[in-house]
Amino acid sequence: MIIAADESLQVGIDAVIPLSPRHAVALGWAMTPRGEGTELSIAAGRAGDCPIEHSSFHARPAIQPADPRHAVVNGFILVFAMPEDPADAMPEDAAELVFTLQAGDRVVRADLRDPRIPRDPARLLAETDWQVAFGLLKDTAASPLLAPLAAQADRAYGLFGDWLARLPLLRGRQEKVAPLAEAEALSAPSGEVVVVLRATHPVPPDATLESALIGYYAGPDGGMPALLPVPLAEWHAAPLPTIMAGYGRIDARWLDGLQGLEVVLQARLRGEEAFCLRIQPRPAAVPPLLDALCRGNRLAAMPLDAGSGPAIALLRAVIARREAAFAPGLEALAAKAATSPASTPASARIILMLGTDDPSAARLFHVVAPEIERRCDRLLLMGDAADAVAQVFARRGRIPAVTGPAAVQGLRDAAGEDGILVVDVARYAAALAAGAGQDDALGQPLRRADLARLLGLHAAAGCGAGLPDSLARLLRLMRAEPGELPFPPAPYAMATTEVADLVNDHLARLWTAGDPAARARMEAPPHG
Amino acid sequence: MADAPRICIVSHSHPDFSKGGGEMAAHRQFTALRHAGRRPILVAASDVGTRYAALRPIEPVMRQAEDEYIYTFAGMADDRLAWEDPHQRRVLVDFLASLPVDVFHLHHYWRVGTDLIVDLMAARPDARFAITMHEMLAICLHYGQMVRTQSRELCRAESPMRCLTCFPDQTLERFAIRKATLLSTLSRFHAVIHPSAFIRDRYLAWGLTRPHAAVIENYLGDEALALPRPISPVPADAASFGFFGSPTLFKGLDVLLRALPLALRANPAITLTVFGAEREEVVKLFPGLDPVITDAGRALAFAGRYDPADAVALMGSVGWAIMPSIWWENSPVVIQEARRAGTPLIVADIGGMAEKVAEGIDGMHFKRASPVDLARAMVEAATPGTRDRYAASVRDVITRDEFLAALDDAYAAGGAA
Repeated sequence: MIIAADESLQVGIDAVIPLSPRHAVALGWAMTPRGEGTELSIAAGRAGDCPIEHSSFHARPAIQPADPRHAVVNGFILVFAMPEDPADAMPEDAAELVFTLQAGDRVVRADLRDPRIPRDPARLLAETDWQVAFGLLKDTAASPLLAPLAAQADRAYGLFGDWLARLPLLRGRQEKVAPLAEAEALSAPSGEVVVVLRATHPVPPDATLESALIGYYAGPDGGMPALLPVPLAEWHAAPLPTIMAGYGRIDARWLDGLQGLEVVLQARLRGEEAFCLRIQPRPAAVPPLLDALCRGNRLAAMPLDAGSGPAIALLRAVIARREAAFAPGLEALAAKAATSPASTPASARIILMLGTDDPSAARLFHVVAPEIERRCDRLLLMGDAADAVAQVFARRGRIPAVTGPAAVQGLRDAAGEDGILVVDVARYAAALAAGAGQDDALGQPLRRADLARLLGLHAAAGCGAGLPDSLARLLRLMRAEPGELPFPPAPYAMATTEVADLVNDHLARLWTAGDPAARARMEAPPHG
Repeated sequence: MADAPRICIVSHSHPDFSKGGGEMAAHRQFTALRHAGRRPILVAASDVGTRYAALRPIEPVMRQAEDEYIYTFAGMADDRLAWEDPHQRRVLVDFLASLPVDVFHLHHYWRVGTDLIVDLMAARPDARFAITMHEMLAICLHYGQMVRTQSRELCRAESPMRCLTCFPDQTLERFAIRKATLLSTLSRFHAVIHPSAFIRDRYLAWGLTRPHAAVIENYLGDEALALPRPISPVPADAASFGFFGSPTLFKGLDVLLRALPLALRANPAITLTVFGAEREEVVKLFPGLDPVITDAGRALAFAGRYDPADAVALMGSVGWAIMPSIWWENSPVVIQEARRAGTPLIVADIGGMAEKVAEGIDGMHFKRASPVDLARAMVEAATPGTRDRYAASVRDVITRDEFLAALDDAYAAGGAA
């Protein structure tokens, strides 16, 4: 529905969508005189003004003023509250609901109850300018007031389902995605994403890349997963010579139960040429996540960006952001672990066998099974040969032994408890081979504070695909044995040695955050 | 004998199928116990049965003779140190656990399995467990020889990095797991019986310190002990030498064949008889020695394979028995047979050979793997009077009563495992 005062003052109302008994969102656009101040307001007649509690504006390229020199067009998203009179609680019940756009002494009014306003917002989002849908998705992630939109229509993605269905879903890394040579997205357990759009042409300095993230959360009792727009704690995008790269991190409060992410992108890489992309990032540890920022591609006609000055500058900027975001928390976790009382082996009723990789470990555990069973109620096994070892305990039938994702979940569950005995199988075997008794070979249990630190380190600085690698690194950090670096470099071949040095130094700082002794050992000058 | 413990001997093989030193020792112990009026039970692995099991169904455990049983080990992993088929293992454990015995005496853990051992111990907590170590398989992946794989250099101690140079395809983790598994298993025995102080010391250095360790020489058997000594009323020719055994790469026959022409140059009367192999077998193993064998002419003879029951008598037919092994050996039956026959020995100066042949009493030593030094010893041995002097002092072997008493002491001495 369009209401026009003249050629430079017009308003278009695309939809008015109830959000709750007291809130609604109005979608539309406003054409206003260029350079002149304007005001927007919504009122419910004698019931009073409707406060606008959230507003955002976006481009509407499909709507052109008659003379662009004299007028501009902006899309808007306005969340407003109804007056407190219960009789006027819902927009459709309100006796009067008027949208007012004022520019100087000119005014244009639109009745938000007008039956010409479309009543199928999902269809509207799918068929109108995609900037409207993208803007609303971003706002839905940012504002809890809009959250019901993602749950409406009783289908995945709520109101956004029809629109998203029109965007092909890319996964991980895909070549030849017009107009790109390649699109790639990675995500880390910390809720970070890196998006790299590799172009076939130079990317100008004023290119932009915006993102909206959708989180996948397990549904109750194995039902349909919940797909919810999640707020970004930060987003940083930068044009590189032939690449548009972005780094984002979701709000930490949305990490709990997060199983996956989907990134919806709005990119403008050249002039007014803009497009939308939808991509499911591949899960990655932190090293490949950061390395991707400095990777060129095989198909781009232009010289590769890998290791270029701008790419390194972007990497440095992202590293600085990461350290600002994660180091304080990791320092606090390390401090808490340092002051937590030691636990005794007897207090641990769960044993986690880490690095159960060699099938011959099953022989060892066949022999020592009674000793293990005496010391725990539950066994978690991680590694390539975990199933073979679990079979040993399954045949004996004394204690449950779980492997794979169940073992990882068991470790996460144990983070709230005190005392889990984490045993590196290779070190355990080496200790037994050296003549140690079971108690000495099994070592000390991890405490609740250690487990919290582990999960924190894994999320922010994990170097391997799974939790076992982080656990092995934490145990090494805690051993503080001479001859062992507190943080061995990540075994990942990065774009250049400069990239590798930057990433490894950064990760070392995170791993040793709050641990001055380890930090000192890491930063000791090399001999010679 | 009513109070004597009843014993089950578990062996990695049976003399009906192969005649290695370990299975011969196990069977001779079985026979000695039986002749002593006790009622032992022998349960031995059977490679014949195992091969058969690969083609047709066969019971995992079968009766071989009165109180003698054989089992197949087709269900074991390739290295024969653990079972891949838990059901076959369980059948064997159930069978062994049901036997009316007080002591399980294992000869070897190879073809028995660490998993079977601990399961049997769990099934029979009332029994005592002893094991005789016939070589060093737990310590060394190279057939338990402690000889480097890239050369024939001797190895004196196990260490993971050193082992990695011999087995570059292995991992440090696997070495650790292997040792931890074997050490944890062997440490549970009440008694470990070593046929030589040499092998006892190797296992001690490796870390096997918990069980009672006894050094008890293998028993040569009632038949050999019944023979008169010296075996031959007429002294053998001092210049005649004999090699006894299968000519494997580690037995040092090549060293002896290289020493022969050197010795012949000093004393053309010297002769050498190889008992245990034909010329073709030796040439196949050491092709480069074919001209040496040809040149030796009538000074060298190949007597082919022999029955172990005839070994002592054959020992008496030569003036000297030579044992030139390039590996350590443990407690070679050849040395026992020669000593039983009253035939002095020339042996390499290492390991179980040096221990079992007291220099100046039972015979002479030569520098291991040195043909020159072996030739020196042979020439000296062939001088008039030398052989008679050594033949007079060479010591006899352990008697049955000594052997069984030592075993009973070992069974009783071991504390709780």
